[in-house]
Amino acid sequence: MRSTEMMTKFPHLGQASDKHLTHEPPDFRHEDWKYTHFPQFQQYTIQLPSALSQGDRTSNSVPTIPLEDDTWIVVVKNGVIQPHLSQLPDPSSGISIRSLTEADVQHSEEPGLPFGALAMKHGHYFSQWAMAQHAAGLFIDVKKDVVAQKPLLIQTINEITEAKQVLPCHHVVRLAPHSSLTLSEILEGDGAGMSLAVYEIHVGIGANLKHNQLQLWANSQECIQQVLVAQERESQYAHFAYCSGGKKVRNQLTVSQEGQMAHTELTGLVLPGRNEHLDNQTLMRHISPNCSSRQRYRSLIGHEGTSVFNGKVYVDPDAQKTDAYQHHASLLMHESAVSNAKPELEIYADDVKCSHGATTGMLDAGEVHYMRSRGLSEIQARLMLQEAFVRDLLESLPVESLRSWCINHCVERLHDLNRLTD
Amino acid sequence: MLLEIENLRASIEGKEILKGINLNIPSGEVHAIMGPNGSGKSTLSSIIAGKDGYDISGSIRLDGQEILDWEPEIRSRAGIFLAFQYPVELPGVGLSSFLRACVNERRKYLGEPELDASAFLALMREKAAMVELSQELIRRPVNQGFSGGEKKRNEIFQMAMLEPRMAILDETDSGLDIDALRIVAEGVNKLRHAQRSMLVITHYQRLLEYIIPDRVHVLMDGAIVMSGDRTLALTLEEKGYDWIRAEQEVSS
Repeated sequence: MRSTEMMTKFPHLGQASDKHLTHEPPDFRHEDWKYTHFPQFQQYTIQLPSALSQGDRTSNSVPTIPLEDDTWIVVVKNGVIQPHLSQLPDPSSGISIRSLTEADVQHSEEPGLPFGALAMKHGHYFSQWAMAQHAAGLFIDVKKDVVAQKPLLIQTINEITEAKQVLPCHHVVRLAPHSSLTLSEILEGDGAGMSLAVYEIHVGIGANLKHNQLQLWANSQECIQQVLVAQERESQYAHFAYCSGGKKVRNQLTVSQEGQMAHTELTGLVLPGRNEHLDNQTLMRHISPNCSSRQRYRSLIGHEGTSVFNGKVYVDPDAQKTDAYQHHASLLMHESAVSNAKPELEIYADDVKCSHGATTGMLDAGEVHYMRSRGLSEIQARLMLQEAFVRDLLESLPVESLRSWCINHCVERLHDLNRLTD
Repeated sequence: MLLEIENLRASIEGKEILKGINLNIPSGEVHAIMGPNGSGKSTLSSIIAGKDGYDISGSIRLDGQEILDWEPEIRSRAGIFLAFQYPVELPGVGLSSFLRACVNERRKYLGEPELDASAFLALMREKAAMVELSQELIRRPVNQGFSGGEKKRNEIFQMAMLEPRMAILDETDSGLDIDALRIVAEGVNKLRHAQRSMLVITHYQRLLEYIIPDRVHVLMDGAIVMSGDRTLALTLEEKGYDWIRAEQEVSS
């Protein structure tokens, strides 16, 4: 029994195993899962990395992104690091990247290790399920005062061919006090299976993590992901999400500001096309005073595509002087496009500044006509307006080479979505 | 004849707005259309520029070619330009990238090579100076955060960039203070050209003191009821539209 084996390694996971055994996956009656649920999840079978193809040296899984030379790269195929395709940081850099299980064995005696605690506390059903399956993944550890000299790129390629097969992953990122790292991820693949990932991210005192995730799932793939972040005082965490596709994708971002003067930036762009369902949920937990957060999400939804955004801001009674902002905008490219947006503010402190806004609409016919009357075709006008809707978000992606790649990818995606809409 | 409008009728939701307009504008001439509120002035300009939603019959020819079944962008590329009464804001769409696409579409239509970035930039600087549009505004999204006067100046700027054959100015003077009116009118006058005609739609004679028209037409209840030289505008200012109504009753 895998879960028993786990309990000896991670005593605190016992709770998860129990939960997993006694609870069913949340269905539409659960408010957080109202628009996105996985009713057949219990029939899914687990695919462990060892059972999946790892490809070979000649496979085309080398990053297709023209990166600056100065980038550390980790290629992970079907849950396994591909050393021959990766350029890992030198040990002298103060940054180590290891397989999670290996790290766990080496450091299990060390007190305060970051494996499992966050997922146990704030993980949803699927995260806890993944933990109970002893999901493997990466452990990225940045030492105290280390300012990463290069950005780090993780390219994850999941090719789980069969539907109702799930590959669970568990990644841990730890930034020791006053360290800083830019961590970018490209998540892609093929097949009909599900990628299930749990991230536990600890941002130490005064540390700064820029975390960019580009999800390029094929429209046959499913994904459930939860990123759990704990921020110490004076730390900064910025998350950028670009979700260009996927059959059914559920991303949850849960950020807890555990110390004062922490700042969080959450940015997301979602582009679902036909028969694609992309769900982004955020939970911003303001539990310490004098912290701030900024959330900006946009959905551009094609013909028969669905976007879900649920943004929760929780302000604890102790979190006085919180400054929280959240905005979500949807642009529907067709009458068949669906947007479900739900801001939720739960505020228990009285001296705070919290604002939110949400808009949903189609392109303004007057704007399109104005542009046509100056000589642009209808499709040129639409593309220009759609690009304008997303461009400033894309401009906020911090790595230059990744940013220009992402802008090009997005423009191509918009062309595709418009073609489908016609 | 640059623009010929023949027995143009237009209705929307069963209501007839234009009731048989006949209007010829020779190349190089500036014509003004005046008329009371609701007489159909803006409808006429929208229809020339290709706005849909109307039931239309009759004919509009540009350089002898029927344009009524052309899409708005084809009319624009062929040389029709409408300066909007209410210029539209395009959130996030940069003015220079927008205009560069527009100018190059027109050039492609005319069989001219597209402008490269530096040639376009030089052209833009030159034309912006003509209507005193600051470089700062050019870097902004189209009309976003522009004042009323800046929006109108931006329309004339775009007209200068696109170098149309037939420019229609729909109440370009409305909402302008005296200084802005002068700048806009001077811009328009610099664009007068033997190969370019203009149709100036206005409520007030004042604009026509700056932009001297060759002909003035009075549009009332969907039809042109009187045409004359620029003195007609002065008479209208003095006597009002009731004078024309009275004249019509006498003649009928």
